[in-house]
Amino acid sequence: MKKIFLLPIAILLLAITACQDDLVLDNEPLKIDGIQGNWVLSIVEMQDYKAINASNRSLDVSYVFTEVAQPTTMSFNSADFTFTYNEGDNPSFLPESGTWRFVNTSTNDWSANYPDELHLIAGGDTTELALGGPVRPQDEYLQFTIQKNCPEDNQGYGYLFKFIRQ
Amino acid sequence: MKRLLPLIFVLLGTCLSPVCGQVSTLPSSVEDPTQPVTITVNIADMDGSIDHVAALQAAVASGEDLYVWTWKPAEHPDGHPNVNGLGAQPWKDSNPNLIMTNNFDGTFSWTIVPTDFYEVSASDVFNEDIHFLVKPRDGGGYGDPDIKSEDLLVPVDPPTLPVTKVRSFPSIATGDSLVRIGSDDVFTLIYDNNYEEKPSMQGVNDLCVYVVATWTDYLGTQNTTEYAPITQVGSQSELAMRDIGQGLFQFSFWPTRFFNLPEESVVRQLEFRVLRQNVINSDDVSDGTFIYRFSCF
Repeated sequence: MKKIFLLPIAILLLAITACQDDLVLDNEPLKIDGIQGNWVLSIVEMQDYKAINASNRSLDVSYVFTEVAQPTTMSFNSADFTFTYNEGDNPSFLPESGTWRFVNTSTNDWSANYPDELHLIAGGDTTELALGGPVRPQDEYLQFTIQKNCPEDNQGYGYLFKFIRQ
Repeated sequence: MKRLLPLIFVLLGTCLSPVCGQVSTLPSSVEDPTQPVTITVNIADMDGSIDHVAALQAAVASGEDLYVWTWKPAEHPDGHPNVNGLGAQPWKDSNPNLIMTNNFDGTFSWTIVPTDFYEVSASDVFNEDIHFLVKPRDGGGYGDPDIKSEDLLVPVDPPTLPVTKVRSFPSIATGDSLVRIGSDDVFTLIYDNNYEEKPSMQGVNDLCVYVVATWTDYLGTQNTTEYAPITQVGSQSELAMRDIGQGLFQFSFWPTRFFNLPEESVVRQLEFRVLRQNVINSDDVSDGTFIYRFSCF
């Protein structure tokens, strides 16, 4: 007796679900859309790769870069893949303008969605910057590491730059 | 003392263990993994009662070469020039790049710069040490009896640094006397008040620096610039040290901009003193002049 009731209910449920629209997931936001726009340098951590103690390998030196009359700014255009860098009153670590691209180093290829490096190309030179985190449209920061090295020092040091979206 | 006893026994046990005697290094203690180290193993000293060690000793007696097989601080992947073994049965085909030098006295040596060979940082080597074993080219396995040493270890530890109340960031490398940064870089002086020996300076927090730069202009002419006389530094807010907590104080600056040096100038040396902003007499000045010489021009 119970089976007689269950069968119509199952058919009814099947009919209702069959009429629902297919579930469509939004496309993952592209990082090239996320980097588009203007950015201001807001946090700088200097990194000492040869420091013996792990606790001494990073130091916040933001105030040296931010408590200035002219801050450091960057802008990226995702339509023509151009960028500008204005060091303001700070050291000019990066080229002033040129083109950019994202790179996934594991595949050694351009990567719109899974980049781990940002390359700035200017005057035939490429500056390779390791991304410190994703830069999706909803992300507040663009962060990358500028590695520096003395010729006679194979350990080196660097700066983690964090730009805030404007 | 009770707490120290277990540590002493552990240390004694480590140094008296058979493995410790089988491996020696030159220099005798490895404190700088960015410099060459020669690791020597004594096959005769190994425990021949272990089957695979006895097989190794027999292989050496028959004139076979020995190879290093290493996995820490890093193990190179297939395709890398210094991968441990080659082909589908790597244990049977050691990499010729990892052959040891036969000293013809029962010992075999291997010389590397650890950070270069393993392609890791010095701190990685400090954290992991060097782990390896030695074997003939064909180490057996795959159904055959193994031919190998026991696992061997070379401890790598940084030298015990004297605790100082003042240090630089970036740090001065082991065995070095230079801060290796360029003229467009930020320099930081860190002062740790916990190690202040002068009672009148202990626990204070109104600190500033007196700083003098030695620099050369584009012609190479050397100059010395005092930012402000020591009696006036307390009134210069830009010379104040920032309290970053736990008794630590930080003074970070870009020397080229700070001293308003002409273009193409190179900072060669910075000299600091640490003192209270309300300096009255020598009680308000930490003892010592702290000098940092720069490289990387």
